[in-house]
Amino acid sequence: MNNGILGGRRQGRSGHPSRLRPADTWALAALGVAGRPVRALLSALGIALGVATLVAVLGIAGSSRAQLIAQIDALGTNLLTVTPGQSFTNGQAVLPATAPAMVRRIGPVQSTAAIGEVNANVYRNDRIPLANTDAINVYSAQTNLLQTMQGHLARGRFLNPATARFPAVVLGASAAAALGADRAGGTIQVWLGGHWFAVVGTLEPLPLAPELDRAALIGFPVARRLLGARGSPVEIYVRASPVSMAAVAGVLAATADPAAPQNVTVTSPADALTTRADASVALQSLFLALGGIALLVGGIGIANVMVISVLERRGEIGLRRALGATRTHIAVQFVTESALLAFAGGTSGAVLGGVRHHGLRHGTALERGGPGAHPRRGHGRRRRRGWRGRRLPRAARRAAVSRRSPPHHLARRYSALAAGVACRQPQRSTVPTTPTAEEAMSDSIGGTVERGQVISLTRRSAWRREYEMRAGERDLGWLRWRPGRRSFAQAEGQGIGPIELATRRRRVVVAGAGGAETLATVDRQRGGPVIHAARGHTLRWDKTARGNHWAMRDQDGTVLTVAAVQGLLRSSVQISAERTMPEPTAVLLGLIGGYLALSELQYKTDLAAAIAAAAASSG
Amino acid sequence: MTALELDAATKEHPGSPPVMALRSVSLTIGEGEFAALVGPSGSGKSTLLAIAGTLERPTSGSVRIAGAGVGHLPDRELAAVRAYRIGFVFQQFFLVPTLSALDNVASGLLYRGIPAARRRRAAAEALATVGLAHRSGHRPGELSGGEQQRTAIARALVGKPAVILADEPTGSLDTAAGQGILALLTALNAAGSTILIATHNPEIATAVPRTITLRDGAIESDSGSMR
Repeated sequence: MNNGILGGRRQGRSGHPSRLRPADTWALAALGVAGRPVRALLSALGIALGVATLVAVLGIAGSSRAQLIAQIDALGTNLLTVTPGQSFTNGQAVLPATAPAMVRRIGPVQSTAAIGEVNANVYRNDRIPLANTDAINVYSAQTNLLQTMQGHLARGRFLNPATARFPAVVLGASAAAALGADRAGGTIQVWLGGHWFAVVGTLEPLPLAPELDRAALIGFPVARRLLGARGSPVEIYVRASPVSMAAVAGVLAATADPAAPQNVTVTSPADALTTRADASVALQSLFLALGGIALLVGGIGIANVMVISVLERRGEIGLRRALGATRTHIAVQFVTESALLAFAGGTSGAVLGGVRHHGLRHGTALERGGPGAHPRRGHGRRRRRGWRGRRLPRAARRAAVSRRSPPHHLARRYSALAAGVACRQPQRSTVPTTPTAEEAMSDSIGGTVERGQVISLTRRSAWRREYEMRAGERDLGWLRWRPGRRSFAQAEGQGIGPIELATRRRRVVVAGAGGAETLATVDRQRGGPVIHAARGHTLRWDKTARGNHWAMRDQDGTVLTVAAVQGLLRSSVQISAERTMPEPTAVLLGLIGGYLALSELQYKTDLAAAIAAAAASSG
Repeated sequence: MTALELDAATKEHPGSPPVMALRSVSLTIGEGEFAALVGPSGSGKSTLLAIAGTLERPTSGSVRIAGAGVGHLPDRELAAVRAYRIGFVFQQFFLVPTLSALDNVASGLLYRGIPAARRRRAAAEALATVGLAHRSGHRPGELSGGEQQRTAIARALVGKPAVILADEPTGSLDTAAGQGILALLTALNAAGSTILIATHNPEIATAVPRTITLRDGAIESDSGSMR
């Protein structure tokens, strides 16, 4: 008997422990989930929405910052400005007139352009009171200023060696608006320093040099001759080799004014903008907090459900205890069930949030024409990488090239990508020549869309299929897609006459003025129009180093647009950058709202079930 | 060798005044015995079964299962005692509705860490013992009440425990099905199982070899061990 007791003890203690195999643990959890499919679905959906909110929020914040950085990169980070500072004797310092030429001689400096002081004001006409200067400054400008700034003309042309000698003026963006030059047709004149000056061009805003937006720029020769300006530079813009920025910045002051380098201020405008971009990260914390609250609310809801489910399953717990489960086994079973739910919900939430994120990210990437909107820059070397060069045999490649459109399967699959359209003459074997700045600028003037111009389409409304069309610097108006109608779109041209659009066999043809030349065709596809160039143009899609981002390049290798692609993303959620803010906010609120509603529903359902169970067991 | 031994087991539920559910009950069930606990509602039958099944601990006194004292064991080892030494049968069957009868029976071996295939083989044997081999693939919802209780008994039986504790096994069944269950239990007892049931059905009580009558938490009468 004594022996039996000891034997039994030994058995109970170490010989036969209560044990649940890991495989059985998973099976139990799966059983628990599958046994209550509606509840499991609701729980997983709740988690999914919470996670989706969080992921989308992170993505939105991240991509808006990335977009800012991309903008800054597009403007060029290699710009430095030299301005006269305060002199030691408390007066405003003056840069020597030789400063631009001296700076130009620094090795890594690629180009410089100076603006000089002109002691004059500009008025719309000679009847305006002298005090109404509209805070517009008049500067004399070197003819390569626009090129150095990598700026763009809104209309007209910039100063050239000829117009710099005559009373001609180029207005900055806000100056043009203030003087009404942006609205007037034909040639207008302004009253500048007691003389009539013809407005030959107006500028697009220059983010790196906002002071030029409120400036009227005239040539150095005419400033000296008519207005008696001494021509001392008030600001020198310096483009330097990006790798030598620090070195150049170090010697700029001494080079500009060797006699008094302490009077020279050197700044890097891109740095200031980058700082601003970093500051916008602060916005991310706000989004994060919102997402976190959503997740917390959902978490409490799920905890609630779990408590109710434990109460409801007291019978099962009792049974399992009777079958020999330890408390740990019971806890592990419930936790494993929750983990399964969380995994299912979390995974689908991440996918869901990722889709939203990519959709929005994609939209921002399509903003404007991208670098493709620049006048062609020769890259000398023709790169033939990507899908075409890698995968297809020579004959097939030629066929693909002669089709002059992006590959159809890609176009279909990633129909949302189609954004930039370029129309060019075939340039199969020639190395493109670099146009001079003057030529490039005159390209963008004129009555019709030039060959070699890039037409970019940007979706401008999230709800209607409307696209803004730009060719180079100019706004070509907009297109509206009307599903189900035969006519595709209407377009208003600005200064270039109408652009014709016609439907031909489910294919829309975009034609230049007079319909003489087909510029591009637009295919109806599910999820949005697929636009491809028609004439002698080859486009190439390259996968970029970043995940699902594709770059559309022309035959010179110039990137026309970069777009993010999600395999699951069928519909084209294209939102222009200007409208990015309201969209994610709406999405966010929608997600949070749906999430709360679901939590509530789930809670009510479980409560009802628990009450019913209680009533059944007591009855 | 005793299958179950209670020595002066007392269970007191705290409160004001405290409720004495069991008052110093001493009881020995020998191996191979078939005994019935009878008594009116509230007499302590279920409490006694819970204490005998180590689901509850007595306030004082001791419990031995198959000769081994369990009073001082931690939860983990008590669970092991239940997994290996005790089989439970409940009035409400407590079958898992989403599992087949075979898998429900197999879950009787779940907490012994036996691989699923071996559990199923043993479960098939146990189902054959209770006469339900032909229903092994059916879910509890597709079985009659009597068949469900047979399945539950097979689950208690599958691990060949030292003692089977059944709380009102016929309470949810009609008379015919109840008689069937009683016949099954009698047959199992004849084959060597030790069985202790709680019931307030006097017909069943008279059919069981040994009857222990409880009243107000104490043993009023015990027809005594047959052996």
